[in-house]
Amino acid sequence: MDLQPGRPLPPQALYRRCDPEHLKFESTESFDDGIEIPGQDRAVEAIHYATDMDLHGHNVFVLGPSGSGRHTFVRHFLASRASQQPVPSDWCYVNNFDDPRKPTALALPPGLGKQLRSDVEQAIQDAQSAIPVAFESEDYQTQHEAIREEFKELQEKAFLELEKEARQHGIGVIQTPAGIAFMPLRDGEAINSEAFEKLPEKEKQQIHEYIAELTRKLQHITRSIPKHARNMRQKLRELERDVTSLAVAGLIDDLVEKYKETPVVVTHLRAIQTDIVDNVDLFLHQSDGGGFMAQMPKLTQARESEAMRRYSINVLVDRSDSNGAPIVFEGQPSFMQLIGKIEHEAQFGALVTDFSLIRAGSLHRANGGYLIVDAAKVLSYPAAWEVFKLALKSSEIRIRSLADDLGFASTVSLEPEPIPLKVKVILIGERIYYYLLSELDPEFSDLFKIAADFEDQIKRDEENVRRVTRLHANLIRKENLRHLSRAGVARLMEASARIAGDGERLSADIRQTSDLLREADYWAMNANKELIGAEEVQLAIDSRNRRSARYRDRLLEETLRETFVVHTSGSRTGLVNGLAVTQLGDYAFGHPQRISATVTLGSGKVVDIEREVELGGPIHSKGVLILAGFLSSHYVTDRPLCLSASLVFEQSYGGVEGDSASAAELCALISAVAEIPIRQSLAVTGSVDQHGNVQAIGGVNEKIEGFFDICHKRGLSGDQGVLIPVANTKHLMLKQEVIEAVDKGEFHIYPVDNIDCCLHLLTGVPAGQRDEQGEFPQGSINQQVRKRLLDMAATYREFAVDNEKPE
Amino acid sequence: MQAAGTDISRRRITLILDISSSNQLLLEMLPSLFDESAGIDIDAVFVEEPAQRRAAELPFVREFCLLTTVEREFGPMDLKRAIEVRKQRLSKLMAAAVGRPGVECSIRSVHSAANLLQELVSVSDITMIVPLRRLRQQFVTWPVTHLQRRGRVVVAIGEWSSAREPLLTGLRLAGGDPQRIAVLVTGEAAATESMDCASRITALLSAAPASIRIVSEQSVQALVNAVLLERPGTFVLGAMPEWLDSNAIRTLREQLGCMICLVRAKLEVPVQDQ
Repeated sequence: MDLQPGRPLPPQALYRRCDPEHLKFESTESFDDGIEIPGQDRAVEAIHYATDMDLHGHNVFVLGPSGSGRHTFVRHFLASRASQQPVPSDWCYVNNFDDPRKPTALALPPGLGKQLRSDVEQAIQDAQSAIPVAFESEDYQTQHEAIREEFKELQEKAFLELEKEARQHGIGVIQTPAGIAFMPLRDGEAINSEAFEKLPEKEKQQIHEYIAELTRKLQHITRSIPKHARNMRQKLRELERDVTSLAVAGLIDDLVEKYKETPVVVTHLRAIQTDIVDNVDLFLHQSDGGGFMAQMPKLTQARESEAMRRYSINVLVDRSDSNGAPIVFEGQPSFMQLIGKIEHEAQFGALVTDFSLIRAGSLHRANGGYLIVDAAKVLSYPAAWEVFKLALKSSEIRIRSLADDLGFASTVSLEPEPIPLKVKVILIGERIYYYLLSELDPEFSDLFKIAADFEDQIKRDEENVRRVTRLHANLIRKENLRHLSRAGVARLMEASARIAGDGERLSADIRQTSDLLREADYWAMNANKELIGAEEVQLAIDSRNRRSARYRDRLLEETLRETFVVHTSGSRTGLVNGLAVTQLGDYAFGHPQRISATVTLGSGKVVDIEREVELGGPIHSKGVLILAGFLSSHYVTDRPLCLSASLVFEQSYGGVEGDSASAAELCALISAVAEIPIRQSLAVTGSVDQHGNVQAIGGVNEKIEGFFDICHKRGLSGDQGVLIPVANTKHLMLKQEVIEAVDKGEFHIYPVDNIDCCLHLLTGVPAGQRDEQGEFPQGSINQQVRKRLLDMAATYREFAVDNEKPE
Repeated sequence: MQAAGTDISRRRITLILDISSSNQLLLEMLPSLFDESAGIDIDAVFVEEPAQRRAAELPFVREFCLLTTVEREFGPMDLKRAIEVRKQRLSKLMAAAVGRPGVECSIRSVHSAANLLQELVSVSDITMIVPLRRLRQQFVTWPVTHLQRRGRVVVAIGEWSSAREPLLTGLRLAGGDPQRIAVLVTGEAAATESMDCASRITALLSAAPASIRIVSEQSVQALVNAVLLERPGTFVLGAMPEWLDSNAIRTLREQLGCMICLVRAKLEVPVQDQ
């Protein structure tokens, strides 16, 4: 195609069509369900590598723009990988009878957790019946009574002998409020004080001695009793243990036999057996006749349920229905959702907890498989990132309470035994998160060693068109939409290229084209069509643009009403139509922007008014500073630049960024210096370097269409058009109206490669090249610019005072 | 039998307490004695034995504390103070144990006298007597768990016409479990055929008790011996006149070593012809 700078582009250069005839299918119906991510070979290779590497820290950060199919691909890929991997263990928490604050974690073969829970529940229910029966038995009661009687007899014998001895000495034993007292008797009755006083002194003395001796013996007896009582209690405990052991041994032995292949279960079952023996009261009904327990049947039920809970199995992760390794997508990766939590129950106004209230987090569920987490979300939840890293770094899940960690709560809580963690994490996020984490978090690179970088755009070739179409075919099946005809696919591919802003590329943002597809399905439904054709896709594009274009339409309207001034005819000195792009969400549109330049005698400075009022960004300011460099190097290398110029975006009230207007600014400046008017029927976009070369810019399609819309509304005159950098011609995917106008010669797109070319088109005057003597041709723009600058330098010198020289 | 001058719509329960014994178990049993009566008067009586007063007056007698094995002063003021403390403590415990409206409680202490127990029993519908503590039974050093505490309830009945009240009281004290009840049939009732005895008792209890024993010998000591054989936690006796003299009550109190509940039969009011 003939693309000569300065010559208008032919219509076929303005849009790269996707020819339906070149597509090797009739419609999307011909595609099967497989997923092939188009043009993301680099990312796909990284994910393959990451999943193959079974090493610590080889987790993946999938970076790239949203909508590029990252989630779809990752899930699809992992699904095929995980299905070939073994199902990991069930995880349970059980009571640690030695230290209930530190529940024990059990790893069980997949599916065994629920079964064990059920078996243990049944065994405890059986024990709740069997143990009371054993304790009610005649055998137990007899043995129990015998032990008590033995002690009682021992005690009674000692006291009876003491009482007998006291009586032999005429001393009686009486009960007092807090104990006993010895006192003299006469005729079997307690003596009163008067009678005692009348006794001979010797007898009184003897009574004192007897009482002292009896008291000493009583002391000896009473001090020996606790030891006997201890022995008795020990015997009673042993009896209780023997009875309980016998009652539960059969129940537990059956389970031990069943789970003999799983040693951790056997160990825990034996621990249960021992604990039941030690805590048999939990299994005995407390319903003594007149006692207060009988008034509280609920308390008895509570004790039964306490026993059930004490020995229950908290199945944290159940894999009974799993096939292959787990793939968990955590959509809400908060602190607790990741590592699990310990719930509490309110009991009598206090919050209490135990091992049965431990709840699994996504790390538990993904253990032995894959965990997919959104990077932005995990970073936004308080403390989630830190705890996530800690788990990955230490390769274990340690359940903690965030409130405890932050010191907000001081309740006694649990310290569950950490669970070993082996998981492949796929963190998905925008590129900015990856770069920031790499720079700011020293641990990040150790934990996420592999980056899978998804492209924003993909090459527009036959293979990628086929892959993108296959993705859309999957979506159509999944959401039960109408299939796309070949023409519909072609139009959708063109729309994708337009979204990419490049005729030779497709957008990797599948989400946007998927939305178009859904909307096109709506239009096809309205038109009673079986397939979605190009017409429906176009309707979807148009209606989306229409819905989003409120601000653009208002701006256009106010421009036509000349509230915003944009000239599309005539010529003006120092004034050029630049082009700007405004991005509002997903919608971008272009519009012309008057750029004016004024020149006075001065010290060689080009003042960027946007920068002076802090509306100009750094890249824009850089572009303006380049202009001064171009002026001095291009025109007056042998003289100081003695002008003072100012540039402004007229009627611009917001920030300006980017250097895509620098070519237009330079044209305005040269026009002002040379005092040559510029055609207002043309608009210019492009950045310029110090040598006057025009370079590529972004949003070329929107910019052209923005200027076209105004011209079109005012009536196309045939001499209107837009100057664009040559490098941008490959990006052109212009709307049909523009192409038609160009075809009719009513509008023109001029590729330009340098500023001279721009100036020639804008002024109609040749720019002029230096001859062998270094002089520009007479009458050329450049000659007039140089002449004006030399004049200004001379004038400046005349005004100079003493040694003052221009800077 | 109905005490003269008493309000028949109110039930009178007398608790005969010992200043040297624990009354906790008695208070736990107390709610079981409440029936549907609109009002209940509880008269708690601490009986102060003469030997205790005399001992307190002797200057050299000292109290030996069995808990600490330490001797300490024991004078009249100490005895008085100990009784006051017991009364105050009982007052608080009783308020908590009663827990229903229409119950009036009084607590007092009296000096033991020859006919005191007989007088107290004769004006009460139910009399609960705490056993006297004996030296050889001083220590209950093992925890009193439900297994020990819930010993059998032994009910003695002397005549069938007044058997219903003691049996039902016994059933209430046994927590509604007839298998915790042992019945002793004595007095006139002992002349009944054993099969007939069983059917009558089963009818009155609406269930069969754990055991029924006929005590043919008509003496207090024979009854005491028969009761002790049952290892009772509580002994319930239909209050027949021959067992209501002070000596008989004292014998029961001293020898049984368990809680005693004397139940007076409700008289059927005779229909008078106009």
